[in-house]
Amino acid sequence: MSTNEADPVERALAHVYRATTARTVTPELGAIVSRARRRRASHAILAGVAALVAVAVGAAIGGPLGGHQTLPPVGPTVSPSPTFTVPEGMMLIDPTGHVYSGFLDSPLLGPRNADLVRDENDRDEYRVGGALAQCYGDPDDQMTVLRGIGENAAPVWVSLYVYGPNTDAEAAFAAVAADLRACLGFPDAQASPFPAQPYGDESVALTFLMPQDGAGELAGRPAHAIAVRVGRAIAVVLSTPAHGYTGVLEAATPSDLDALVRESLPRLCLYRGCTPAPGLPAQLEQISPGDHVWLVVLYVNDIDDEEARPGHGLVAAAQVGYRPVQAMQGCDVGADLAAPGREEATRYLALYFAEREEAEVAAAAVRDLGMAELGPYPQVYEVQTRCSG
Amino acid sequence: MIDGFSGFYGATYAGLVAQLYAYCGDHGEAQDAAQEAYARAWTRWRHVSAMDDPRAWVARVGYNLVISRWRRARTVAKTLVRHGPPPPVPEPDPGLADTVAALRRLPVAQRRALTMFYLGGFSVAEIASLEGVAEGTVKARLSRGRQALAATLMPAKEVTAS
Repeated sequence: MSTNEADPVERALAHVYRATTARTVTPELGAIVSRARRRRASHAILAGVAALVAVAVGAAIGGPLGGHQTLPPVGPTVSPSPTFTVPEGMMLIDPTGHVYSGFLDSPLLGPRNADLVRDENDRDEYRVGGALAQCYGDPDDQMTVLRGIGENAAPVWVSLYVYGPNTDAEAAFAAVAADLRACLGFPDAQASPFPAQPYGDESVALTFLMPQDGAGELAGRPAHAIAVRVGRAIAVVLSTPAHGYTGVLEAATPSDLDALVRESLPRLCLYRGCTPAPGLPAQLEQISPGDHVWLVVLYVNDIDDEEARPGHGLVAAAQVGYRPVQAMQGCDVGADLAAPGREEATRYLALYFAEREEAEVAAAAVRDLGMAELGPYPQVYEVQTRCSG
Repeated sequence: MIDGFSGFYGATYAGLVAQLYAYCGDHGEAQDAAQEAYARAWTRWRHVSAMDDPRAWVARVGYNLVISRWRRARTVAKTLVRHGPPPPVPEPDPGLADTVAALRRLPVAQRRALTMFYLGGFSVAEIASLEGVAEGTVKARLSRGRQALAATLMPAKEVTAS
């Protein structure tokens, strides 16, 4: 960089640059790659199981519970450990405190076929009208995705802001609700609320007219937005008209947005606490090592598999009212889920039940969702759990 | 593709750390944020490498990470748990420390504009695009930031002499 050495400010800043770069050692590329893989793995770890496996499983007999199988003798014993519980509100925060955002690359919000996904750091490329991130306080994580919904694939921006235990989601929502137009980037737009049923813990919905911009093809056309808070999460859906290939693409209608929000709301229970849908059994909240329980495995992934999408298992569970936990291979004797040699890299999302019938009912409810992304799952296993929290 | 990332990473890492250090005043945190930013870039390199300026994407991620409160809260603990105590860092020279301290006293927006412009080498237009503000806003932040920084860095006798 060129510096005007006669300018004290430039001279001082250039000194900062030279001195800092001189003392900075660039880590080996392998360290960055390892970090990326650990991040991916940590994204899949859900608090509720801060579990460490004491020993690997021996000759476990796993597989789906087609015919009843006899459990092998328990291997080396695990020292008595405290029972673990599924902590409220900690579902998507891994043991190091990082909020899991990787699941957002699954269709948590809206129709199950996402046509475009961007992560939180790409959201600026897709801001409509210069949406203001500072409206939303200090979320621990956020993501915006673009969807096309309805017959004409009207563009809808769906944003999710997730707040950690030390940040105030309610205060953030109050700021958003106070001036949703400005928070969406249309501070001067003519706006009016549109009639909508209340959603989640609190919500606001409005229609506004597109301002004059460019050649003006969109000016005066209606756009619609809904913001809703569920526990520690704020979801914002915004649909504006856009330029299509052959003309103007109108915004999605309020009824389309209403349907989108209603489909998404059950999944957001992950941020508040989930309640099983009517007719479904409650899962176990406390499990002690050595307990014989029934496992509904929702998704299995290898942490080095870049194509894995454990978020789909999360979505499926939440859709029917459950918060699954994630366990490591070997946590549950009787669930041999890892590929050979990949035991330490295998994680699985699961629900735990006291009775086989309960597990089967819950599994059937997830199967009825028809989510092809789950592959051969859910499947039910009888296990003896070894996890310690 | 990995070769492309390797070259990009090697050429830009130290510069990003310099920006982030000037921005947050903590060399360790700046390095941690930079490494996290590059890790994220590696994960989506096919997408990032197709951008007009991948360096801008990584820089934006780095700045975002540094300002995250929860990250600050856990960085030290995480470092100790996973790696043991960080190695002793050489004491910075007084001039360096003074400049970084002066930067820390600036409003966040001015500080970021100065570090992006003078340490990051981004143009006013690029900063405006990254920040989502008008170019005039960036220029104003740079101007006010420079004035405030000059007043802090320059001894009184030099100020009155100019």
